Amino acid sequence: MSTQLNDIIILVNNAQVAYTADSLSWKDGFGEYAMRNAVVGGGQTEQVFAKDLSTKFGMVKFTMPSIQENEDNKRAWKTNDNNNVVELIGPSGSNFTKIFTQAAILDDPETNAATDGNIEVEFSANPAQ
Amino acid sequence: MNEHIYNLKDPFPYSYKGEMVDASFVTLIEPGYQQLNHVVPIKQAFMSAITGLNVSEEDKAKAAADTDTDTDTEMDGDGVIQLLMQWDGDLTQVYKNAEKVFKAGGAQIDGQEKMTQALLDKFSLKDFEVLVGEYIANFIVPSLMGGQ
Repeated sequence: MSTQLNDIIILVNNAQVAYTADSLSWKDGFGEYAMRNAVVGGGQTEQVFAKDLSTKFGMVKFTMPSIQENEDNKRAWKTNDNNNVVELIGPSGSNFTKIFTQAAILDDPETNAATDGNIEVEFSANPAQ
Repeated sequence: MNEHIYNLKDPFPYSYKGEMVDASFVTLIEPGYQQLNHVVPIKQAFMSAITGLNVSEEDKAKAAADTDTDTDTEMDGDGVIQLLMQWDGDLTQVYKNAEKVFKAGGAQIDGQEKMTQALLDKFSLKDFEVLVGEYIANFIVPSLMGGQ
C-alpha cells in the first residue's frame, strides 16, 4: 500500500513551521532539459540533448495562516537573504527528507488580512539534498 | 553570566547561516529570571532526590572518609542522572522542565544557535540525559549549596 506525501514537517532555520494544509509544493532543482533535432540527411534526425544549468534551483513554497508569529517569520526569512535552510521531513517511518540550503525569498511575500487569510511564501534555493 | 560546555557524544546536523553543519557541543547558560518557572521545579526535584536517598551508615562513613582526601568529589552530569534515577518522583517532568529551560535561552548549539524543539528532537537520549545532568550539576547544585 502506498501513502500520499501530504503529511510533511517543514523546518526553516531549525524551527518548525505550521502551514496551511495541502499548500506545500517543491521542486528538487533538476533544472530544465532541452531537446532538439539535428538533421543527418535522408530524412533522418538525431537528438541533441542538453541540460539548462541556469535553471538548476530548488524551490519550496507553502502558505501559512496570517498570524503574528508567521508574519514575524516571513520578515525574518526575507531579511535573512540567502542564509536560510528549509528542511522537509516525511512522517515517522518514512525515509523522506529533503534539505534546501542557501534558500532565499526572491519576491516580496504577500500577507492577506482576512478571516481565513494566508501568507504565501516561496523559497528559491540550492538543489535539494 | 556563567557558561558550561558539554561535548556531544552523538553529533547531529543542523542549519546555520544557510548551510547544514554538524553540532559538536552545547553551551549551557546560567539560568536567569526568565527561566524561573522551569528551574524551580528542577531544584525541588533534585532536593527531594537528595533528601530521599536511603544512605546506609557504611556509605555515610565512606563519604566522610572521602572528604578527608584531596579527591575531587564534585558531581558530574552522569552522577546527577544516576541519582535522579533512584528518585521515586517524576523524572520525565524534570526532563520536560529542562527542555523548556533550554528553549528559553538556557542552551545554544555550538555556542551560536538557539535551541528549538526541532533541534532537541535530534538529540540522542544519552546526550540529552547527560545534558540535563550537566545543567543541574553546574548551575542547580551550586545554587543549592549557597551560591556560585
